[in-house]
Amino acid sequence: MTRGLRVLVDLARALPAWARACASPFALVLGIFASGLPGAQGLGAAPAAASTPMSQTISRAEFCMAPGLADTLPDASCGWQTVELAKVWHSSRQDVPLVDAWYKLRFHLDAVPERSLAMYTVAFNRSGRVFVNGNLLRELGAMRDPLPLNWDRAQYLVLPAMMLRAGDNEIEIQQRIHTYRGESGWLAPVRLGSEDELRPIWQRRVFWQSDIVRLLGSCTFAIGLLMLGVWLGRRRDSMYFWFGCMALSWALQSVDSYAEMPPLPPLVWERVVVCMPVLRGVLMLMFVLSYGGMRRPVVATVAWSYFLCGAVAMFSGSMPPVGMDLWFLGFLVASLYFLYLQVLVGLRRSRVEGVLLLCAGTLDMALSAHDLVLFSEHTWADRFYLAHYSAPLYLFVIGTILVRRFTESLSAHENLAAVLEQRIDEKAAELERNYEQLVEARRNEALALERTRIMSEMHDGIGSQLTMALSLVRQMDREHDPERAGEDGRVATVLRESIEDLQLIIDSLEPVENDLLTVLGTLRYRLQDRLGKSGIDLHWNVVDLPPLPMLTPHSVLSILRIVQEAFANCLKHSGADRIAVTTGLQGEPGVDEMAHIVIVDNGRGIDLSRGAGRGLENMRRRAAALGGLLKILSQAGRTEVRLEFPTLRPG
Amino acid sequence: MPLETPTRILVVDDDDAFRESVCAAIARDDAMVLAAQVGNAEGARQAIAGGEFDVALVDLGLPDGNGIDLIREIARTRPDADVMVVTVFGDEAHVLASIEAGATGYLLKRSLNDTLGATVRELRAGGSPISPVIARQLLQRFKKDSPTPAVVDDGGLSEREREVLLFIAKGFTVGEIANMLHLSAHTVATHVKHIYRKLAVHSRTEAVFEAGRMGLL
Repeated sequence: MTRGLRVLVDLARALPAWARACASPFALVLGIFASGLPGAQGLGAAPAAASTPMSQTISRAEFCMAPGLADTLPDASCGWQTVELAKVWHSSRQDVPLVDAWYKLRFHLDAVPERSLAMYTVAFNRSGRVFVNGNLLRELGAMRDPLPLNWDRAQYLVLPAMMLRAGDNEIEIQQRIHTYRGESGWLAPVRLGSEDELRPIWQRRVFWQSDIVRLLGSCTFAIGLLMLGVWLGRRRDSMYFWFGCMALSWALQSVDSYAEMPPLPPLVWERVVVCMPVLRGVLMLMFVLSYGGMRRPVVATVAWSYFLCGAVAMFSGSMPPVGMDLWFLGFLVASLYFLYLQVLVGLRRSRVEGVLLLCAGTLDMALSAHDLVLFSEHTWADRFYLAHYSAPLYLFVIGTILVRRFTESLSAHENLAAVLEQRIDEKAAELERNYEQLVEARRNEALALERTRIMSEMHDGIGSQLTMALSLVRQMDREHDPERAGEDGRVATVLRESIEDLQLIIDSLEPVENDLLTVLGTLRYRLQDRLGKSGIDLHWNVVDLPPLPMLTPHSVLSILRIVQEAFANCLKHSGADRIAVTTGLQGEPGVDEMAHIVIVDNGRGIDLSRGAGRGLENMRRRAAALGGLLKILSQAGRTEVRLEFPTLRPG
Repeated sequence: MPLETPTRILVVDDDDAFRESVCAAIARDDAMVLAAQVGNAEGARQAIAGGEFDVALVDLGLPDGNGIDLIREIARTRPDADVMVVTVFGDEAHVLASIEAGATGYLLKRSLNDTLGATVRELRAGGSPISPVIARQLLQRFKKDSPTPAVVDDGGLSEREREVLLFIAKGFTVGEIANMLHLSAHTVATHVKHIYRKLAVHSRTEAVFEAGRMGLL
């Protein structure tokens, strides 16, 4: 491929040592890989010392380039020459699609071995056939155009004992390559040894180079599909789409490392594979922008245009070599910017995420750079492509972050749902309460309306008439006996008491908001003038009581009548000049709470031994109707009337 | 209050005997003088237009009109005069409606002979009578109405006024409250009158607001 990349490689190699171990981790890792990965290098290389007597490495061969495709060993006219392995060759012929070269590898056996020999080489490009002592042993890949994708595979063959002979043996290898784009053929040094010795080496190499890539590629493919599936369900979250595409592009690219045959025509496939790193970089950019919620339309447009221009130029075959170089160079520079964006986004969420992304991204970039260099060398190397390992790791990191974010938002959603549910419950309860209040209010309203109606009947009807009658009687009394003006006669007194009783009924219907003190205060207010006239000092020793639900008009009337009766007794008979009214609560609220009203006077007392009068009997009856009781303690100078009743509404 | 100009009383009531006894009570008291006495709303309007009175005793149930309208008219045309509503029972419904219309006091018909003089003097001095039930209803009224947007801000109740109402609702007398709050009894009674006036303003404001909302203004 490309001169430009070679320039890059040269540049990298020309870097002084200090620059390689320099400022950014990226450059450091890039430097290491650009100068060759020591770890990967020795993997397939055989140790120099042979472990069995037969174990040997053939590093010299007879080589000739066949004039055309020939299925038999060329004769001496081919121009055999001795070459060192690994041998790299290419043909300048453009008139044929395929071209062959031949190798003759000689080795010596003291005797025909009892068991088969094994032959192993780290690199063989591309197809070919292996003969042992002139007899065809095996084809290494199909020989037709297009040739299979085994350009970076190690080869392992078993040489059956029956094909070998004592003394000199010869392995003839036919090697076939494409002629286009200056493809090279190569053969690395060939090792001979026992199967037990070489098979594990080969298997290990195949595992690391091919099997694991196949495995990771499959996983990546599955993850890509999964993410696209997630995206189909959540079109708004385009990051899943970009991530899915990124994974799929990787899975596609990894096919190149393990498939037998290219899934597309070889030239197209090669171009696809070459374009893939740049495409993946752009997809990565899109993912980062989407994941970080960044809006960089200009950057995205530039990146896509950059990719598309290069791809179109490449596929139309109009990409000049220098253009290709610049394309990759630009991509590498842009990658640094993508990495920066990505770490920025990661740090925004958490330090761990930022560091993880930085590490994975740097590693991926470094290994990709290594692969690009390797690819640009376009020749055999005892190294293999590494981005296959970093890319899945990278995708895994991003995938983990995505999954974490997904689960986070899922649990946030669930919390939200729980909160919502709770709110709905609260609202429902509130509605229920409101409804109950509404019902209560309606009922109260109806009661109030009814009360107003009765009030106005009493006020304008019987109340007015009684009052009118009282004025008439008083007027007559005054005319009849001017001396007694201001004092009610018998009829006037009956009328006044009738009005007062009516007043009591009306007061019991007044809205008192379940406050016992208002009930008692009303009575006090009504009696105030009379108490004042009688020279009685009223002590209002009340304590504030909580609203008592039992104070319905009915029970209010009972309490008013009981207390009024108690006052009437004081006023009429006791000769007291001091009355104290006390209130209080006893017992446990909601269980057995009792309210009490105590009226104490300093009069001459009631003679209880004479049996209760009608007034007292009425008081007791009314107290019982309240579910309470009346206690009367009387002696000269102190009479106590104590009314106790439960605060809960009966029933 | 000796040797002051006697308070001129306008009596509006359709009960002849009652009117007569009121006139007698006024005649007995040097501090009061009868301005006019009428038995219907028509007569009352003329008397109000004449305007020669300080206190109007108004009965709510008149044969040819509603006493509430008369109270409202007096409150509008004679803001310096006091209106006392004459009621049989002093019940919350009648009294509050009158106060809302602009009355600042009320009298129980049956005990009028005993209380007229004292009540009128107290009223002219700036104090109003109040019962526990009415105090509680006033508290409720101001609390309930406070969230409604008033066109004119009447300020609601002051802390002291609220306190006074609360004590009255609990059955304490003006004298007791004065003791507890270290005020004169007269000041407490003055608070009550202020509250009555506030309620009237409040009601008018509300009526204006309601009318505005209904598109009448």
